[in-house]
Amino acid sequence: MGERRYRSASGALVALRRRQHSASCRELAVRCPRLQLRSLSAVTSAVWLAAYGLFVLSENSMVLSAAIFITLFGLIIYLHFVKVDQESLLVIGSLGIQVTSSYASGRESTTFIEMGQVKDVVINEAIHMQKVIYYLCILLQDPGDPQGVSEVVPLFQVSLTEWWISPDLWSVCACQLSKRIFIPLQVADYSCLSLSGPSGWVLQHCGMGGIRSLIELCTGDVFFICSPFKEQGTVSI
Amino acid sequence: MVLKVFFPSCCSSAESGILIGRWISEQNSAVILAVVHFPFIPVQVKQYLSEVQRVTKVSVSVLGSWSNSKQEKEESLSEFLEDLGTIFSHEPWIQISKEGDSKFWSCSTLQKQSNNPKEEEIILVYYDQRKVMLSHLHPPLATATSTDHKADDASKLSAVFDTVAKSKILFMTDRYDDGPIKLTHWQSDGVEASIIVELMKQASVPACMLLTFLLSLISGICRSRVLKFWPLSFLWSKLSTCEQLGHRLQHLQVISSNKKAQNQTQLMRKANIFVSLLIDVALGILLMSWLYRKNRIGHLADTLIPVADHVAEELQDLLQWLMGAPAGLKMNRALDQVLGRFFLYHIHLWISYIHLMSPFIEMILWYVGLSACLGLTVALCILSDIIALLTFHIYCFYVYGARLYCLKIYGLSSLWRLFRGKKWNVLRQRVDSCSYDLDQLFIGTLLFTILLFLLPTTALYYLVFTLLRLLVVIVQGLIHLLVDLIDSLPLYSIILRLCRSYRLAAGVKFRVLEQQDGKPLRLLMQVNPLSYGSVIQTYRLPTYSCYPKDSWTSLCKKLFLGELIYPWKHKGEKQD
Repeated sequence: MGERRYRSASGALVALRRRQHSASCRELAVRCPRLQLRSLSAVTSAVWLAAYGLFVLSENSMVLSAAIFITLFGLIIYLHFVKVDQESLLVIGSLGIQVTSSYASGRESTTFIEMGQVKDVVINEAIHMQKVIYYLCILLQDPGDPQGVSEVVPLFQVSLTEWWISPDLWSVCACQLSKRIFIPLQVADYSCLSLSGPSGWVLQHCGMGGIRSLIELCTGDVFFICSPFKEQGTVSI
Repeated sequence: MVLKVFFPSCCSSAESGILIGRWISEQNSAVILAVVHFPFIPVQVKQYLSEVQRVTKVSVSVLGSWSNSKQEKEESLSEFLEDLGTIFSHEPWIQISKEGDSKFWSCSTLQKQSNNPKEEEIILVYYDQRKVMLSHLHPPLATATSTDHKADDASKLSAVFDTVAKSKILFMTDRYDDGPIKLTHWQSDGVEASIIVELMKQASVPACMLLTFLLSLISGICRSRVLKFWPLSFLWSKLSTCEQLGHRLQHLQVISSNKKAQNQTQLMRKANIFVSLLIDVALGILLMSWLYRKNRIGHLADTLIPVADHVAEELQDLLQWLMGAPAGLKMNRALDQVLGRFFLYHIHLWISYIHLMSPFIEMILWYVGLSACLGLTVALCILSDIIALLTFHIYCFYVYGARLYCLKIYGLSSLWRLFRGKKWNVLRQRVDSCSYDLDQLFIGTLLFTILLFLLPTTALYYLVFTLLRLLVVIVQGLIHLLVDLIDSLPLYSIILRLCRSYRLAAGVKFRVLEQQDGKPLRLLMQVNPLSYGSVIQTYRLPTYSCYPKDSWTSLCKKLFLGELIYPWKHKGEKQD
């Protein structure tokens, strides 16, 4: 399956790749943009110019060697701990979900969540600065309380893409988790209706500020307007 | 449901045979432990398996057949393997076959008593048997605290890990043993053993007994009545060196006990304590050798008295400054002189005592320095105690200043109430109004004015000595922090995580291997090691000191009111 390009929440261009290994195993990998030579040289020259300025003022050559060490260590720490190269999601039916982030230095940090612990996969929304962003997250089951949620694990933290315009992403998870209905988390002053269609899944999302839209995932585009503050119920199409 | 087969990667090149392992029916997964080769007598195999089941409490059974043919698939062999399914009845009967050097195996199941004959999907998960056997799965910290976890809620992977770990006895026979059953597993090429480990196991028993005997002697001496008389017991409780030595004695007792460790946590704790003690003593001996080379300890002793003198001189200068007009403030002359002279005399006494002790200092320090061989922590505690002893006069001044200031504040607050016509009701713990006589009011107001105008002088002395005391407390606190760090760091766990990271597992990770259409899904399961932060959090050793529980606001309140502060307290000490 090929790659598609989307724009992430921070404005960078990310490439998405879907693979289906078998009937019950699918992988989704999002590749983040690489480190730009431009920004690297800009930062390095800035640091070295500042160090040279200090050296001219203080006549101490230790400042220059310190600047070199700082640049080197800073770059190594940035590549090893901060710069994410690729984030991937591997869904293996009846085993679990594996989330991997690989960093620019080659380090991979993996988390495997067993299927028994996964309660649901939902789209959640968050307010970031002046806009609302939507992100995919896994809800983990609370062992003590069957209705409760013990933890929310956000996915694709670095390369956030606008999910509601890319139905392909949804279909990966949707097909695996035994055809459940996705219910976004309820936030205080709005409620949402959940609907199920005859084929595929249908997700309704009521946002804050009165945006209402319905995204039908596997079959076509349907828009449906509904009023806010309704109780939860089921409506058949 | 999907059928999951956990296959050990060491059996990939084994000869044809039957698969033995454990079938976990609630998860629809089969954990294969070994391959039994032809020829075998089915009765003997069943006997062997029941023996293994009895010892390990793991329900090991025959799960299916494995055929590894170099040429094309033989029809007769496949029929023979199917017939085996009737001898060892197991639902479902798993048949895995590998042709030549192909990476892609075919895997099928035979269900005799199934209602729906639809083909279920099979996932083949390869695992490294040795690593899975040796690793210890750590549950996430949140779920570790909830103890009412039912066994059927336990994660699937922990069942797999448990199965492999408990079947150790199955892996004890290798192919050089003459037995009726020929197995292939990770140790079938030869059982691993290390002669050093065996020797150490033999030597550890008498060593432990000797250590226990010595420790019982030492603890008997420590608990004897001679050392419990009042001045001595007070001294022992104040010196942090004794606390540290007691703590280390406890550690030694834990190591030298001859009870075997029951579970992983106890084993890791013992190992951590042992390595921590070893490193501590090694660093202490290093420090000692550095101190005693070129007679550095003699130089240290020589500089000790001049340093004490210098500190006393600085204090005298400070007091002279306070007796004058410090920072331009105008003090009450008479009170100033009294307090200043009192403290100056105190310093004079202190200097005389130090000078009296000076010929013995070098010898005392030389012998005390020898105790650094007990460990670096002991040396640091001795340093902290020496600092406490040298700055004892600062502590005394702080106490005098604080008590005076405290008295003054209480007097002022009570007389202020009298000034306003109120009184503190001790019974009701509140302020009540009260009518005073005229002479009471007169004397009260007079005393109040006197105390108020003497307040700046006392407050200044209190401020100066409190700051000095806080400085000393901070220095001592930093040393104790370092001692705590050395005490509680689980070095063995960190080294294990560095060198044998598969032993401490936080979970697993899967890698999808090459696929081919029509063949089952192939995954490689690897151990995901615990992060260093979780290692330290899980395995850190408990220490005896507790950090200050006072928040900043209560500390400031105590300072304002003049109450004595003891920021570092040890567990088990009575609160003042």
